Amino acid sequence: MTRPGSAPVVDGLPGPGGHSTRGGGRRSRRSPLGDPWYTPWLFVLPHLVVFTLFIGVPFFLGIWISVHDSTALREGPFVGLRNYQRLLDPESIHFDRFWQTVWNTVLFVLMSTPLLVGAGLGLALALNQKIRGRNLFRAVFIAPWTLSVAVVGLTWWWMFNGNSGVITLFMQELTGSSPGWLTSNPWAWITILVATLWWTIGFNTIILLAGLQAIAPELYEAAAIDGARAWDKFRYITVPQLRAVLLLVITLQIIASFQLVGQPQLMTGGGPPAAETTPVLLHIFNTAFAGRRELSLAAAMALIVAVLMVAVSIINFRLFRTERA
Amino acid sequence: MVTVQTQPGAEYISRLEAAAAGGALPHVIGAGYDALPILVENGILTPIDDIAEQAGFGPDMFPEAIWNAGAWKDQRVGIPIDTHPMLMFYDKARFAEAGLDPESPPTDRESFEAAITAINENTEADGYQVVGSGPGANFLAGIQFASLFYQGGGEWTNADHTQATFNGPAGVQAAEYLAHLVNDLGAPTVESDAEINAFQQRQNAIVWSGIWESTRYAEALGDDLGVAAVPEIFGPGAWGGSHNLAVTSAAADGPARACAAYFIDWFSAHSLEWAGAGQVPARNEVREQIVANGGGEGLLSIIAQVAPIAESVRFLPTIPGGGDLLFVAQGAGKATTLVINGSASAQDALDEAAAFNSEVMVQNKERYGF
Repeated sequence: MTRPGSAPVVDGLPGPGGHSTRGGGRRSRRSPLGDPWYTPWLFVLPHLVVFTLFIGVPFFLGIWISVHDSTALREGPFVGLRNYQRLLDPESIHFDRFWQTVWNTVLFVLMSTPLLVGAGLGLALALNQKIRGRNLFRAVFIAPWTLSVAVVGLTWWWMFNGNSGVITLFMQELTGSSPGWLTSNPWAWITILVATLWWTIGFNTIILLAGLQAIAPELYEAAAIDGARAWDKFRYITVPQLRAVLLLVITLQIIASFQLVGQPQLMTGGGPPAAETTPVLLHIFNTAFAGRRELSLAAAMALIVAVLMVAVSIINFRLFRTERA
Repeated sequence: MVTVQTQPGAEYISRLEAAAAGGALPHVIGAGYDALPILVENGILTPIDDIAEQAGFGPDMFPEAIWNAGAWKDQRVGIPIDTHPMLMFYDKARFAEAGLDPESPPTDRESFEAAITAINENTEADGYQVVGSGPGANFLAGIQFASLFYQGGGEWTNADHTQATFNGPAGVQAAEYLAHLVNDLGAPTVESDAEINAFQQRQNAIVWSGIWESTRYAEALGDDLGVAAVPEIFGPGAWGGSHNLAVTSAAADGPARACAAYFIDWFSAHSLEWAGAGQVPARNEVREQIVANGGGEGLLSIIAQVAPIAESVRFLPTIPGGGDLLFVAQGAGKATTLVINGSASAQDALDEAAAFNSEVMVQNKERYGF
């Protein structure tokens, strides 16, 4: 039963939904649950503020900087797309240096992803067994992940460096001479991979372990009855069951590997002169804040890298979706 | 009252910029001569012609090149306090062991190479180690390049600073000489700073280092430390830097400026004590005093020995965004490490570096208007 000119009463629900409006004024927007319209916004607001301040504003500011010719203290004149031209024109002197570092990063992604995901899977399989001290091992493997990149980089630098590194000295004792771990290739990349592996393997292991433990043991029992060997069980049960988790880990690993910056900066300082281990983010940092402090050029580089990473993420998404379908 | 804040060198310019943006600049800073132009252009430093005139600083108080290095666009922007040249340090004990006279270090190409060979053959130490890798390689290889480059009569740029010219014959000669030491004299290629450590551990008998290494060398080698000018491989010349005191925009006028003027005046007059840090004082009368006293204990005796170098040290062209960072670390130094490692020919590596530096110079010229 409604009174003329009033809002319809919603059956059975408490709250102000049943109130009438008087005087034919505006209807207050209320959700079906009876909360004011702004309630969801209030929930999101704290994060939205932080996001806007630290990601939104800098993003647009970066675009602004990249179309001017600015240095740290003075905003320069508007130069349009000149910085982008410099980075995309093969004749330009900046082209080679930038795209070489992009390639270095891609190389690292290609080297590190199979290694870190594979090693993580191997460790997870090992830790999935009922062995004594399993919990202790889990703690030991995840512990390095709690360290910051500065600690990790410096620690491994101390171990690998040519003057006083314990690994260098050990090699010299063993074989009489040691390669320049941090100062020649391929060792420079290998040391960075080793440090990254030690640092982050715990994360992949824990996630894959959780995935492994969600696999129903009945599947393995049934397979055993059918005469499957360990490798068959792995190939036909473990991997398919882990598919979703594996793809998650691979995606996260690719994204994380693209963001490589700390280890090369601290360990190799950008790498041996002729075959550098400078990833693109380190190159951007060096261009903007070290040396010549070319903020605008660095901002342009950063935007190009952002576009590339969006492309990579889209490809990953597609892959993920196809598998689920 | 003077409060001093020390900052890590690598972040010095970043800290200054942050301080400037936050309005918290110190009143006086010490800076290398090659940083002065860009600091002035960025508004961090103010010209100090008035202070210089008032305190009586003038070109007759300092060697010409050092005095000129503190000027930008015909304004005085820095008062020089020192120069820190590259020197040759050698291990007298290893020299004696190799049959060389420890009191007469090599002075030219022939004697230098003979010394290296003698030490390699007769002792277990290396005669010389060449820096070819590591984070500091570009700088360390670059300043050695610079010394040889000056000796060959090289010029870094053309007259209006639009083109880098270090890829000329003097540059190619300099880079190839370092490669020659590796390839023909058996000098090992080492990581940056490894040659310094090896010298301290008596495993390396000769090293070309900046004078700032004197303190640690003196500590490690004691009386066995020998110091001399860099041998004249192609002629006289050595790389050097120069620190200046400058006044920031935080002391643009008022009592702060007067205080800054007083401090700079006092410091310059007392720069004898600055020599104790292993720097050669820029002020002529202070240097003459050290030499007259015969040096005295510790580092001062080294300073006394090398003081004459202050008259002939050469500097990079002072342009904003130039200096050691551009020409050495990112330019010729980077090319030299490639040559030392055999990854590129001297001409190719230097050509590429020169092209890069030229473009940067043109860009800076447009930006800063000089």
